[in-house]
Amino acid sequence: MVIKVLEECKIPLNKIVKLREDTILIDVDKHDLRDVIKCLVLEKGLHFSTCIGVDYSGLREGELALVYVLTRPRVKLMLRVLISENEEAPHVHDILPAAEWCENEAYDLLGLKTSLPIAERFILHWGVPSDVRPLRKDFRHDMKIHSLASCKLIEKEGFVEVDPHHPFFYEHEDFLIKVVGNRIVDVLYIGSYINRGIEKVGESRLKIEQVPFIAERICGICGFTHSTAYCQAVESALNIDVPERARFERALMLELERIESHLLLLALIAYAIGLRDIFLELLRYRELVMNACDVLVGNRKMYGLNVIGGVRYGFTVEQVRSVRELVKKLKDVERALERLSESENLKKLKDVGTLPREDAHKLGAVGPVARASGIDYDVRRDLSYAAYEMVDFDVPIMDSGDTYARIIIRCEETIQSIRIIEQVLSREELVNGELRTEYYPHPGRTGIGMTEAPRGENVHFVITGHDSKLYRWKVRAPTYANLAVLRTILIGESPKNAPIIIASLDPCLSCTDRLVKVRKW
Amino acid sequence: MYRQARKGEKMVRGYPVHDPERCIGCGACSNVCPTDSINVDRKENKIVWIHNVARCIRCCYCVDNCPTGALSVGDEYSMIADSLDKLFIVHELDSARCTSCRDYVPYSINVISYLSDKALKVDLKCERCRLGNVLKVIEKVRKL
Amino acid sequence: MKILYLNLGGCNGCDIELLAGVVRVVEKIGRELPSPDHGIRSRSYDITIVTGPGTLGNLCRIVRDLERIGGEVDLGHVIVLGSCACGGGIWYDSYMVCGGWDMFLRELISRGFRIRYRSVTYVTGCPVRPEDVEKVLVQLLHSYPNLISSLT
Repeated sequence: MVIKVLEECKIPLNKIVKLREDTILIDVDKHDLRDVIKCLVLEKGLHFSTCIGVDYSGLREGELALVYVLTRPRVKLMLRVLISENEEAPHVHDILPAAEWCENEAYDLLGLKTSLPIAERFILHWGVPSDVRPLRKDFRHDMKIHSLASCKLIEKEGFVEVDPHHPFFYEHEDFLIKVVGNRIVDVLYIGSYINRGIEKVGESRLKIEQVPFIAERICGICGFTHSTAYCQAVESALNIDVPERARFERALMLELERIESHLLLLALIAYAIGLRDIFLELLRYRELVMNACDVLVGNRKMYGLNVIGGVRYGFTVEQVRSVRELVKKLKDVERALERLSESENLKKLKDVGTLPREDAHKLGAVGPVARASGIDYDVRRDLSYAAYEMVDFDVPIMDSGDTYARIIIRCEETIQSIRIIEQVLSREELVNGELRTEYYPHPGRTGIGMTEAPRGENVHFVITGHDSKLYRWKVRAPTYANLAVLRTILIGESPKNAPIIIASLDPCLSCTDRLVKVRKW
Repeated sequence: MYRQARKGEKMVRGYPVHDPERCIGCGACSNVCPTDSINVDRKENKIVWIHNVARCIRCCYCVDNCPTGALSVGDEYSMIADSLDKLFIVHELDSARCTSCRDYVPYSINVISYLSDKALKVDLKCERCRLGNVLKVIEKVRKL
Repeated sequence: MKILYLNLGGCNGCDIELLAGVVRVVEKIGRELPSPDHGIRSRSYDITIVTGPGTLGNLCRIVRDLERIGGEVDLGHVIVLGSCACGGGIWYDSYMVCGGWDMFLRELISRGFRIRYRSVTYVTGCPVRPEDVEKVLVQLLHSYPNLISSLT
């Protein structure tokens, strides 16, 4: 199937390398890239995930590359463009706005040559000297650049700050809007406050088997999905098969995490629209999930469960029994969610912050945001991983694309997650069988791992290196893709709705930690 | 695993507990620690096991990789202090000695009982003495 | 009572547990805590809560705040939450991270700011547990009765 699509887009078949059953790598010439992307994404409707800048100088001499990742059901496609040091890097973001952030990120962190008018610094915009290119292989991860940074201010005249969060729940980021009359006319997002240099630490200090712990700490809400995606990327690169028990354990923890994340967001939404009793009730239900995690892995968050090739702990029958009790109590959350979705205050959000389907596709929206706009894409079903092939669940879709739909989708997903958990808990495989597969870390293998995080598709890209270390590790968190739609959904709206519209994207900025100016396209 | 360390109702994966009576000072824990919070310092006649609990992330990966079972998952999760210095756990172990030259080898004295538990013949030599023997053998073979 | 809450680039784990802990404290002392400042807006605070390893971006944010108020601040009683804020956590030597509250403070002082505080409490754990947050906050409020009496 996919071969036929590739032929139609005039990709010579002899350049196709099949890395694994579902992973294809194609070397594309720099001059053909735009035509190929135009054909595959805009005509054939493949989903654009991300692009990755790679400094290949440690594996092959003096070569840089940009790797574009596209997906369609059951196929992950990597288009690799090799560039030499003095050559200008290609770009596609004028035809495909979804690629803007990742391309600019590669130009900034890797120092690729470009004639595009990007900001001098896209991510490291704290007055950092221009020779600091962290993803180059000759840059040391422990070189402290604090004393070099001048902390100069970013110009933001005429903009007003929006704070979309609950007052006691705060990450630093600037959502700035420009208002004329009672309408938002311009949006500016300044992030990168939480950039911790994760990718570089994972590539240099840590060994391949230690990286799941740092991957888990990318985000305190959806950490486990990151470590799963990382493990899947390495498993795909090294061709490791994961035992069934580990798959079920992963699925159980992933769904618990999804419920926890959705309940937190829905609670904050309830608080924002003035339903304080539902806020407290949902937080109480969330505590049940936290207790279930405590019972299973001994920690409320940061499960520390994943290793490459499987899991560390096996769940026992008693643990599963006590979690089943907790899930029985959790089922009553349906009533609270019903009250939330039927409340008049929520219905006021219909037709507010609408994201049309075509824009969602072009901007590369993922997860509940895309599904609320009618894009039928869920990684759990379309690129199945963990134990999702062996359980039965629905993927809720809505067409209206407004703030109301984005919230309702999450209510329905929570109920579906409880359904998955009940099925997983009743399976024999959860408590019997092998935990992990042994492996040998061959250098120079490429792999890609994807999971459906609570906020959407989560992409981890790895190239294994020598000394059982990673050569390149790239994380594309779902919020990174979803923030690109900010401009579309905010412009033309009333400023008093801005906080709730932003909150309905469920932005998780510790995952994203980038600077971006959302420009016109 | 951590389940064995659980007592009572509270189920917590606390920071690792170190048993100086069983530690052989091999340094496996400090090698696998993702935060480098465990350090095994080899001094002249002592091996110093230092754990910086302030930085420890309670992953207990060190426990998985301890060959002797000297590390176990604790049931204490929190450690609260008013100064960072109080958040260090330091254990000093005596180094074992080479059986031929009486020099210190980079393991603690527990290594002798650990090896004899494993029914291995204990002939603990320092690197130099071992190397010396090897060189002598090579010398002999050359002369033949 | 004035509370300053500095998220210095943490992963949100500690922040959510802080929320859970604060809910418990409110239930225990029976009074609402005032909503905190997220950046340094005033010259003196009674309690400062710190999470996160201290990223470069947040350093610049605090530097700007301090420049705005004149370079001098009294943080009151500082509560440092989580492995990241205590010792830098898993990214203690990353190029973007100062490596914990102490190093962050040293970086600010080396830029010429005058920062005073009355006490520091380090609460470890990844993430911290709400019980610990509750214990530390309640202990602090009880040992300084004038803090509680300033609540409404």
